[in-house]
Amino acid sequence: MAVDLFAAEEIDEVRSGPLVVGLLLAVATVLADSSVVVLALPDVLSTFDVSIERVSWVITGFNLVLALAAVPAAYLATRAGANGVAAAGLAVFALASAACTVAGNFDVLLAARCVQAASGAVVVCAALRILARLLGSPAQGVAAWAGAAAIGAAVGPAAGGALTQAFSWRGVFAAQVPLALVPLLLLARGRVLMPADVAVEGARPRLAPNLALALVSAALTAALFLLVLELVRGWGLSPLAAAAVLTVIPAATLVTAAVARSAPGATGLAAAGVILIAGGLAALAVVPSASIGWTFLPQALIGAGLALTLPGLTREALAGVGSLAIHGGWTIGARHAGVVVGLLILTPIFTADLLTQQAAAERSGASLVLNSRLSLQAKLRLGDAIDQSLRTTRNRLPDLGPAFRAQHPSGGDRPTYDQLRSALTEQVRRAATHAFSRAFLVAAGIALLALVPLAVGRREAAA
Amino acid sequence: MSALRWPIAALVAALALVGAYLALGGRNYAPASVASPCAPRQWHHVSSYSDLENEVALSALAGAACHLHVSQPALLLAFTSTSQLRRFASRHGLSTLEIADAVRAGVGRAISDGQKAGAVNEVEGLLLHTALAHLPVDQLMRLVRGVLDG
Repeated sequence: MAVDLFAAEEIDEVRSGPLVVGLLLAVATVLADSSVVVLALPDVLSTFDVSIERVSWVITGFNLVLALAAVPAAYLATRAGANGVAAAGLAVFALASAACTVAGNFDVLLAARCVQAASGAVVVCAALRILARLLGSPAQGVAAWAGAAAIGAAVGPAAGGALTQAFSWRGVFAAQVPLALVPLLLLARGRVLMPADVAVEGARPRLAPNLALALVSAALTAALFLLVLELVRGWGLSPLAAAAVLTVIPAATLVTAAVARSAPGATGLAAAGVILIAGGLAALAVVPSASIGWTFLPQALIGAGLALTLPGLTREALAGVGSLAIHGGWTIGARHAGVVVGLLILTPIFTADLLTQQAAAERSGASLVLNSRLSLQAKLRLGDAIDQSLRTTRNRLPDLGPAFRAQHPSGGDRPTYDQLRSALTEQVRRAATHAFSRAFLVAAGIALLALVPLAVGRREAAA
Repeated sequence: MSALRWPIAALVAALALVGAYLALGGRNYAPASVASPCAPRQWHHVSSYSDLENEVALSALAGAACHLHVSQPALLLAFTSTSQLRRFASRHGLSTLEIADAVRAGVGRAISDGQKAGAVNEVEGLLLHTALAHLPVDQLMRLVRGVLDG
């Protein structure tokens, strides 16, 4: 029996609660999707034999399509009716997530991610209209929608890491299917009576807050992307351990959001947030050693900055004349265009620096072996074994253990071998950390650029 | 002024953290830089034949690498087998004579370093330098292979 979504009865107050929660979860899921697979990328890389640059399109492609589809999706949600559009978007999003889960090759995964992004754009824009209606006012709808967006962005990588560790990268997409189906079923049980459509012609995007959002999003996603890669690929943490480390960001976001809720001066707070994000990123560029403890304070600054910046800027971006959903479309478009630009700028920087630092580590490692107290023949045997190990561990940290064990060090030589192994491991960790420095600094610079549109917006508001 | 209160507080927090990390050595946390093969090399304390062999080989390697403008590990790898040496020569466009000249320069550097370290006296040094200048190319290459093969 076919279900006619549009003929269902109107949702009453009692049933609106679960729908609000369901829609907020769906919004958070879609917006978390821009970073949720970051921790799964090494796993995806192992499943499909593709390059790092190509595998990064699982994130870049999603964000690009979301950025391009957001404004058309907003017009669709405004003109064709938010209930039906949201339901259709959720259904397609669930199907695309299922397709990602079972993708047999990389091209299918990439195509399914693009469909996920396009349907996700529809869900997010339609949800904004429905939430504004269900929560009683556009201001409350926007606050809830922006909050879900901020939490989704902050929690995404940690959730993705936990799912990857517990299942595999496929688990990240499988978990999204019920998160789309639950609000779909709630919408199928009754429709939300929407107010008459407002004119869409006057809904011109608010440039200053949207540009600031784009720049902050570029820096934030880059921060998450780079930090995850540094923790997993550079420092050898498991996805679950990296996810646990990354919980500092959402924790700081939640605490700061609670503290800053009553603070006056949205522009001042947003500027403070931008500075905190830039400071956190700059600190990540100069961590004193490859230890997770050094990432906690920078992450706390980034999380606090996120709480001060994103909700306030989103509210300002949505405060224009005309349809709320269309402003939402412009905002989502700006944020994700920023993410794409950030990834496109930073990916080549850190991949080039990874190669440079790999070569530097090889040079310093070779020098350590040459200048060790081992005999010349022992040095040659060890150097050859390490060389073999480097060749067989493409795209991963080299495991020096087998190369050293193969030398069968005698009692007298053992301390020299142990000392050498520890010194070589330190060189690898130094290289893996330093490879991210320049990219983190550039990301900090991108974040600081957001101060320009903030200042312009403030001047315009004063005028 | 109150509008700037939050940005100034954020700036102070950010600068304090970055400053602290820099003070703790964050800027220098990178792979150790490798000394140029042309830089002077000091010998470790030589207490056995194995130590002497090690120091001579390292000084010779540094001298030859300096002569050819290549890294020491790359040159060492080239001498591990005939095929590696052929590959190295082809990659750098070097003839056998040029490689032999580099080896000669390297051994000369090892003798000089040994003199500076006090392991070789003035007379021994002079004799070794003279012998080296007249050693035929094939014997020079055999000497290198002999040292590497132990």
